[in-house]
Amino acid sequence: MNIAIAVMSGFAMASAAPLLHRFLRRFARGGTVAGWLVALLPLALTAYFASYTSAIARGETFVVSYTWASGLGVNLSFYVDGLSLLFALLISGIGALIVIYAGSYLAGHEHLGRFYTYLLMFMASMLGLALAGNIITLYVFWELTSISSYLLIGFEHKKETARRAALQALLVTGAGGLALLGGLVLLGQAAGSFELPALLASGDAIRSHALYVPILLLVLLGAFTKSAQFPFHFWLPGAMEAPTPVSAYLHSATMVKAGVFLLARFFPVLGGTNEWLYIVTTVGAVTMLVGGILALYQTDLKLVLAYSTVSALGTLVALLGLGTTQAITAAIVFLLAHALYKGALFMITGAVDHETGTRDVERLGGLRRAMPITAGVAVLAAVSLAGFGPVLSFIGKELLLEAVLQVEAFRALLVAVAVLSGALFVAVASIVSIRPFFGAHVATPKEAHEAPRSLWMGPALLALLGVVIGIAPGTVGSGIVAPSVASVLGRIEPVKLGLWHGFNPALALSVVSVVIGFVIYRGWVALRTHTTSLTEKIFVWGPARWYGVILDGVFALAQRQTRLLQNGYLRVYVLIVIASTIGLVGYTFVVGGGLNANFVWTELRFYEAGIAIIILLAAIAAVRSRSRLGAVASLGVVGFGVALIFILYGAPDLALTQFLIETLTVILLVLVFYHLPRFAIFSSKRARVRDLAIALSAGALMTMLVLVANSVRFAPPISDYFAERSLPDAHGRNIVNVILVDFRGLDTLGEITVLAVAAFGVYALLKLRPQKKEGK
Amino acid sequence: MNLSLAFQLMAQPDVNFALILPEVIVSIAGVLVMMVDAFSRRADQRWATGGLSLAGLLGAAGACLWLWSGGAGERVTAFNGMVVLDRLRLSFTLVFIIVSALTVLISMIWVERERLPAGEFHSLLLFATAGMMLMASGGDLVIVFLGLEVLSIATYVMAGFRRTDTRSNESSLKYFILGSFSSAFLLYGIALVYGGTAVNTPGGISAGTTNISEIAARLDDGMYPPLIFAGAAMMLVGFGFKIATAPFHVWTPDVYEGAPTPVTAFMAAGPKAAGFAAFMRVFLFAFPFAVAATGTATSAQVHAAWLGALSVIAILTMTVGNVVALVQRNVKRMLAYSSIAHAGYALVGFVAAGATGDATQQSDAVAAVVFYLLAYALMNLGAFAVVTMIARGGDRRTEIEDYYGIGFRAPVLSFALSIFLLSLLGVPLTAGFMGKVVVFREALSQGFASGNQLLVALVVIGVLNTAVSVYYYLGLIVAMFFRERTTEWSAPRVPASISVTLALTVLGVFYLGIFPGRVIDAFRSVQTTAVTRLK
Repeated sequence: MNIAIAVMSGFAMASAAPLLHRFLRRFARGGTVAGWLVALLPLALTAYFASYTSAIARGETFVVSYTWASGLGVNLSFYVDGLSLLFALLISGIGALIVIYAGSYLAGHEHLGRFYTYLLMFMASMLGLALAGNIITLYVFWELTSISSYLLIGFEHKKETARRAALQALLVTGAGGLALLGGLVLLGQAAGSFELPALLASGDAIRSHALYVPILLLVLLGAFTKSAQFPFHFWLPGAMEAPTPVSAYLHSATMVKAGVFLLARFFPVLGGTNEWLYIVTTVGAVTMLVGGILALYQTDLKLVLAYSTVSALGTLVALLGLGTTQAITAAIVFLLAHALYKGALFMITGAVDHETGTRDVERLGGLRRAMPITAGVAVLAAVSLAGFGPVLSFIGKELLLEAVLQVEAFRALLVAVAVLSGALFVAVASIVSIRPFFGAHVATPKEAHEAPRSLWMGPALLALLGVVIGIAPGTVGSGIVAPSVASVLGRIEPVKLGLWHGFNPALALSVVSVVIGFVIYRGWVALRTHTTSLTEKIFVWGPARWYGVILDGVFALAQRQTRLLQNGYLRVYVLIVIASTIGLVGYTFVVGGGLNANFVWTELRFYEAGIAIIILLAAIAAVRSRSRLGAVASLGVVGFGVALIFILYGAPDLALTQFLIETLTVILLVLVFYHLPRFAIFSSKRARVRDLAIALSAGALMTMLVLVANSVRFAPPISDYFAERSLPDAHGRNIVNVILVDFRGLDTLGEITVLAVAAFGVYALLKLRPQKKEGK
Repeated sequence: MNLSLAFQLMAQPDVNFALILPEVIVSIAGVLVMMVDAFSRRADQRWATGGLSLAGLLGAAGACLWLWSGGAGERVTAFNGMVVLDRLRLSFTLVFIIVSALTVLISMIWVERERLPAGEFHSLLLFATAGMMLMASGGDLVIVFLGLEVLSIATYVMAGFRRTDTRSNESSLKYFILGSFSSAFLLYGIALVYGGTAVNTPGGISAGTTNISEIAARLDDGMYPPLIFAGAAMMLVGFGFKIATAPFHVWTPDVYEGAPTPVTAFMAAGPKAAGFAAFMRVFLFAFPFAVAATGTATSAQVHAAWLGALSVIAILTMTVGNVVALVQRNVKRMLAYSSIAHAGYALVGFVAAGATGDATQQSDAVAAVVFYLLAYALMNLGAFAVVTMIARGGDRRTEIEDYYGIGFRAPVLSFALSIFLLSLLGVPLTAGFMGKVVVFREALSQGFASGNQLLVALVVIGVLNTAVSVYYYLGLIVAMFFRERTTEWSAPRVPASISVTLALTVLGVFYLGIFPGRVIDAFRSVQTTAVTRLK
């Protein structure tokens, strides 16, 4: 089998799943069977990817490439190395568990078939993203994950909140995605290739490239929005509107880690500079703290977990920012551990919600009696979340603290952040495991029962994996973690994982953070009730609010533009077109030196001056007139004045035409006005002043153009040629006749034809009228 | 060129009908359609005239490909430089033919439903197509203007084709009045350029010129540079109106909303592309990038002026189109604003083509714009085909509310429309995405090669605008699939002509989105030789 087929099989299954579901639904328990059948694909994929581990562990990489758009240098290529394999295993492995879980969680839902489609589409996109070997391919899959995430968040589309959250997530990650596209295209331009292996080898060239900073910023923007880093973190809690399997899969275990993946993927290309160190580490550290603190102010279990996911993502980003061997190892271990326990905890929350009808911590308690297995799994996963005990996340946390202790600049600050967020993790772990399952029994909306096997089996498996790998990290460490670390660093580093690192400062800090965590948990209720109003005041102006303000602002702007400029009045449109033209033409004309032209003034004669004054007066009268007839008559005077000027310059034929046209126009206008209501002035004084200004400047511009054009002295007029050639060439003495029938013979023929056609048209129209009357 | 030479040329007309074969075929088909309409006695002639129109367009496409294969590598002119043959023309001509053929298909159901004279509509459409082709093939400003007028007059009538509908009348009248303004500006601009290109020759002052390559050759020797400046600005206004760039876009929403839906589909795809063809032809070749000229030379100044103005216009156009589209409640109006926005994206490619003096890079950028417009034409016509079906009799049901909950009740129409909307938005694997990629890529590489920050800024603004557009394109998809409908609604029966249209456009959208290579490569070899300086 080939990697491309492996990725595409998800899309094929996505289209087949609803049919399968519809077919099997007719049988008893058919829905569950369909879920298991659908889950076979991710299971097979997991096995397939697992078969790569030994080769990858030996340091091999695999490339599969198909030409896509040759002219653009875009190929559909896939690339398998340690990092992509780690993600592929997580995506397909957890995917299989989620599909089985969802079949039970959403059993009986009318659109379960559609849900499988979206979920598998997401899985295939995510696999494509992780395995992409060409950065444009990577972007394509990146956007596909955003879109399938949109569909999954909005799955309960009848809920207004779900629709809004889905759109918010899509707008934030979509905008980030576009920034990423910009960064990737620049990156490809700078490196001269869009292929990942070539890019990974050209890190030094990129880092010293003039466009390094813009590339970095754009790529980071994409990664930060996708991985919900502060200040873009707000979409992730909103995304909890999605059904719980989606939250477990997309919004904790896989999709939100795409940003982290991107940072790791491009670390050999973009990482290791001061810009990278400061920006990435700072954003990560701030997110760590903000996520952890906000988690304390939630009572909805999913929201608690969502904010703690934000904090975990911040931790990963900060570690990648530091970029030391220790930090990268910590990041990879922590990433794996987090995917395992957070997926499990979300699924447990779903099971609790499913069996009791609520996820509000305040309304849950003592569930361990009714749901012993679920409680056990929850505690197991929570130990991982707290990161204290024989679990993989403990190794990750030790590595994290060691990495932070090695930092040179701002060490104290970073250590404080790490310890505090570790404490917050412990507090959150207690909130989600101790509160609902221990203590006194609290009545729930539904009588609590133990969850069915398919609801607790997946999380149990994940939580156990966390423990097993924690106790015996050897195989996973050498087979998966070490190759991933190697592909991030770009060199092979020995990775040795073990629970016990000896009595060292990291262990001491770990103990401190656990103690603080328990203290916070003890005082949690008091803390929440006393400071909620304060934090609400602070977070009123949080990023979510800004998102709203910007969205509303754009809408208001659009509305205003429509009211002002797009109001349907033709006069306003004409005004805009003319004003813009005056601006554009006038500006270029003046800049081009139009005012310096030498105008040619001929001597002004008395008649001309007289006619000019009459035209001017008539024009003013036409504008000022209070009656339609008066205005039309004044316009007529203007026309006749122009015709008189033609006569003065010896063009009687032109003048005659002008007289005819003017007369006809006036008559036509009078005929039309007969049907119109009385003259009234609708525009305000200000509007009229504005119109006057625009009219005057348009007039001034045209006058200037005429004056300048008039100063152009051309070659001798063409009439000389006709006068000279008409007798010898055409044997005619009447020059006008010769021009009409000889020199311009074809033109004349054309004109005659047009006239004839027009006459036919008029005749046809005349004939049409009586027929109509007969019809009536 | 002095007078006696001109007269010699006049005496020996450079006639070459093979070079205008596509235009000739379409015009003859138009006349034939009119004749069939006039003399046929059958009540329902839409298939006769429609079929004839399609046959004419197919013939023109064949002629076009024949010209293409027949050594279009060389830039050939005929009729004393009035008509040119290069790939800029041929690739645009193919786009026009595709647009018109799809419009014929879309119009079939509509003329039947509204009991409109099919023959008149089809012949008008063919004449408009001939006008568009002339705009692309004109080597002289006069031909470009003639083509524009042939196109415009046909379109004015088409916009008001539903004579009994006041919205259609209003649309036509607004288009006519504002269009006349812009035509007048364009003509005035041509006249001013003619005046500005008079040069001093040994035999005295020569006349001006309207030949596009001749203008370029004379720019620095023109005796009256201010006239060239003012003329170029006037032409910018004229063309800017045709392709609906801000601030000359104000007519678009009203006209698109009021015009019958198939006509709107045509106007947004065809005349817009034709406007681009003529706009690019005139500005890239009459006022080209002045390689050798110093900064103070007229050619350099004019080039810098129009490029700067066009960049500002591109920014305005993208932003206005996308932002205002957000608040539209009428689908046709929303698509009108979206068409403004897309013209803005294509302008980015135009600016990239204008910013380089290198012939290969320029032809690459031109090819990107043509590709973009082809992609836009396909997705836009497809979307309007669906809108035509949903609107039904009287063109009434075009509000977003009319689309609520139709998703799974009319799956073919809704899924097709969703694909077109996603493509308009620029989602990967669709034509719209590839179009944006090629256009923005040209602009970026141009920007880096020349250190032109403005081009990079244009791309950034374009990308930001794409983010804004997510909202309104998805809004319609959400309305179709995720909203509940309170009123009774039954899916319209999809006739064969619309099915064919949808199949072709969906295939086209995916073909261009997934395998863009061949089409781009074909357009790429657009022959746009740099103008030789004639003296």
